[in-house]
Amino acid sequence: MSAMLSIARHEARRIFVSPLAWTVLAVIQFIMGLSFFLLLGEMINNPGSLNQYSGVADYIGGGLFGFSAVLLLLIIPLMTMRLFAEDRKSGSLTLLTTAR
Amino acid sequence: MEQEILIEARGLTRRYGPNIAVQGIDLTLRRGEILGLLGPNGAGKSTTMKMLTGNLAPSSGSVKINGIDIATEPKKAKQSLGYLPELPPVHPEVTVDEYLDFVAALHGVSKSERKAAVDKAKQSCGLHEVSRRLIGNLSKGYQQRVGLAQAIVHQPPVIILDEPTVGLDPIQIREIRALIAALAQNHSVILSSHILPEIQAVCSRVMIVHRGRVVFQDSMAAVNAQNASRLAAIFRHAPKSFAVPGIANTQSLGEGRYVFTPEAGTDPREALITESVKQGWGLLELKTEGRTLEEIFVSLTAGETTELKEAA
Repeated sequence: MSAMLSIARHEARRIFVSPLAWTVLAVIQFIMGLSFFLLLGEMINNPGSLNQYSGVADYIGGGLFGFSAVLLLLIIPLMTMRLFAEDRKSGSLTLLTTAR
Repeated sequence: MEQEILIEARGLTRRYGPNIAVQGIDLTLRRGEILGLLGPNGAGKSTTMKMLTGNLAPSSGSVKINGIDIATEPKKAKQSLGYLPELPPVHPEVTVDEYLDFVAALHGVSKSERKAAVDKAKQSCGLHEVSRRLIGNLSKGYQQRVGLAQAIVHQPPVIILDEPTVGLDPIQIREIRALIAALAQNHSVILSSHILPEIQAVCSRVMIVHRGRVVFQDSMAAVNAQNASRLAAIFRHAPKSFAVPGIANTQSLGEGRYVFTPEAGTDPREALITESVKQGWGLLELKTEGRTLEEIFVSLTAGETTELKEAA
């Protein structure tokens, strides 16, 4: 169990020391901001549609986080699927398989 | 003989499809021994080491580390192992300190002892001055040392090193050899290499693997004892013939160089020197030579190099 936690901690550090993770985070933030902005614009242009929702938060929040769930569904595998493959390729997987 | 057995492998075999990489290797390692695994490229050294460290399942055979079967209780068995594969398994994006701390945690060194363990490993491998640098920015030699530090950080009784001196400069090679010799006082080491002088310099026992089988196995002392079978000498004023008792055969190599084959069971060195002084031959150099490790290696591994196929 403790070995698992140390691997997780170490992998998190390895992800965030490279600029890639930060770039991806920035891109996600940008896309989410854009989607927020578009939802806001749609609400202003078409206030009538608000009647179907229980409020502004439901309309904007629901739309935004529904969209972000789909987005993360794509992004998370993109970030993590290389971990095993890269470890195997660089030979550092043996480090984990040799340790208890 | 009464020394504790740390690794016991019986009948290790590994097949890759129809190709047999390793066939029926038996291996025993006792405490304090440095076993040199020697062989040409593709002989099965790395495969054997992978099986010993539990990184590759053997097709048949068993491995016991410190009396614990690695197939049935891998976690417990691997506690006594430190392994440096051919490619050092380092993470280029972290610093040496971070990496070694992670490895120590991975091997179950408790948090309070971790700093001391990392310090000791760094000390042994001469890594103190680079401890805050990123591993990816270090030279190949330093990365190799980090790999070595990784293998010894949890002070395992058995250390397995796959070609530890590849890519190092001569000074680093000497340092690594000294380090291995120092490690062998408290640990047992298995070392693979195809560099013969390296094995000769550090190992206490040598095992030659060829085409997946063990073709030679003996202690280094026995190999060296076999060496005393011929005498090589250089004279300034060599005579036409050497009338020295105990010399069966004389062979001239030109420029005053001679090789003498002594009669079986005799050592004519003393007589040769006395005679040389008496007759004024001007003896410049006299040494024993004979069946060196290199000759043994070449005679065993030369010859047909056809691929090993399983008899179906």
